[in-house]
Amino acid sequence: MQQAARRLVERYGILDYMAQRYLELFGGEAGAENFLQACENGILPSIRCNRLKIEYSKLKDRLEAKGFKLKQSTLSEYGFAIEKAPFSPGATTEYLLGYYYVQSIASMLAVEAFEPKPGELICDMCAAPGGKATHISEYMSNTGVLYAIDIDRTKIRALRSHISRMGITNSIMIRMDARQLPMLDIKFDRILLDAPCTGEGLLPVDWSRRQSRKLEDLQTCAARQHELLEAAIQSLRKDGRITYVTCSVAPEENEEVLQEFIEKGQLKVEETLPQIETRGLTRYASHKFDESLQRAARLYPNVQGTEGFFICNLRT
Amino acid sequence: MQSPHLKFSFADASKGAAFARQLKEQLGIEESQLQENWSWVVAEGPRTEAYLTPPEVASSLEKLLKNRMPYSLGLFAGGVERERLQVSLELASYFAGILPDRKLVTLKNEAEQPVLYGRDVLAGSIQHIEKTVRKRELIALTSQQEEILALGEMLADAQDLQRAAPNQRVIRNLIDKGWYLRKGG
Repeated sequence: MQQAARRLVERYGILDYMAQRYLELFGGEAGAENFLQACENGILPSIRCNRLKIEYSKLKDRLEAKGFKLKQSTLSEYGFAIEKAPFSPGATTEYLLGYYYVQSIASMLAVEAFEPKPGELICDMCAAPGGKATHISEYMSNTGVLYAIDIDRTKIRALRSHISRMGITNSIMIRMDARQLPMLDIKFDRILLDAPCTGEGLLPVDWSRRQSRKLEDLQTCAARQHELLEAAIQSLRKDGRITYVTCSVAPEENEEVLQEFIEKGQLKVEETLPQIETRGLTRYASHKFDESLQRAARLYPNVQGTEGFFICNLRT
Repeated sequence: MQSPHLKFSFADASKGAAFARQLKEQLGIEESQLQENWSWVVAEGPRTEAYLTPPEVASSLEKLLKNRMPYSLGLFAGGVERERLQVSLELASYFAGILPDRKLVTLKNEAEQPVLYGRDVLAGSIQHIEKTVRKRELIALTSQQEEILALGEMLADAQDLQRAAPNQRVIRNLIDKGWYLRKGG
């Protein structure tokens, strides 16, 4: 192992394979350290105001009267960072009334990139626990139809609960493996694929992940992401949009998954969140990816102060 | 709340009319006040549930039912026991703006938290109640800002509450918004 990798392993307690990859991904030891330091420092929790039920200013006033200190996010007009919380933000009356969702700014940006419109037929393929799904319905002004799909028996209960709490009435929830989406025989206007992933980007909120994810997990996740994307393509109407999202910074789960579909001409990359300065990769280790992947957005804790995310708008 | 073994179908006209009638009995909402063109959907299995769906959801559901059963949809209207709709908190909250005043019981600020923890309502916790509300009647418990916090069942006639001791339980908490946190997932 390189000396630099060894130092990262010793300083941050990450696994060997991660250190090697971070050196590659962040262009050397200083970049990798910058990323890991930001992960170790963590990020502020945040909430999304549910404009179907309340205006921002009223929510802010109510929560601040209870001792919360909120700061408007500079990245998302929907988000507030919680700078001070006298108690859990999931235990207020306002939370129970569905006035907000405790959600990362990165997740809000994924839906902003997705740009759902009122009246559309939309699918959220891996919808539980419902942060993005409820945000999508808000964008749709509770009109059209949102298919919210998830396979997990426990998580879909949480999805139902959040949909109910947030006052969403335009959804149809289905418990199924989203890889079977074409069996529904529906052509959607938009599909959000927030693909199950290693969650490598969640290090700032769960530092234990530096030990719990193995290299094999990357391969398993990538294979499933490929299958999910295939299903999404088959269920998209002509000229519809797929937004591919992961909470992983691993190119193996992002650019590498998309590369094959781009090469085959099945997908084209569209401009995604142009205000985000960190873009999709065109090179990583010995891999070279399509130039169009620069249109994808990457989020990092050390740059945007969010979880690590990959967000990419695609068209067939 | 929802079971994977429920079979969803559109309610026929007579069942839909019965639900609308029960909605009026329980919450005082007239059928004409309901959202135009919303459809009643019934889910049957180990238990029965009713849903209200906007037209676009209903139209999509019609096609979906040929291939797949949903898990849940639209607005959960309530459980159905012996053909009788037990209106849900979701339904009451959604139609909060059109509930008649006599169905709304306003709580004092200090009673908000106990109710959200599932507690019943004490006589001394009530800020406002219409005198005509009767024992066993279904009412919605609201905050000072007129937000629906819970559904309750009157344990006494409202006109008798003045004589009740402040710590006497006078409204049974049937379901409250804190349920989401405690059991909802």
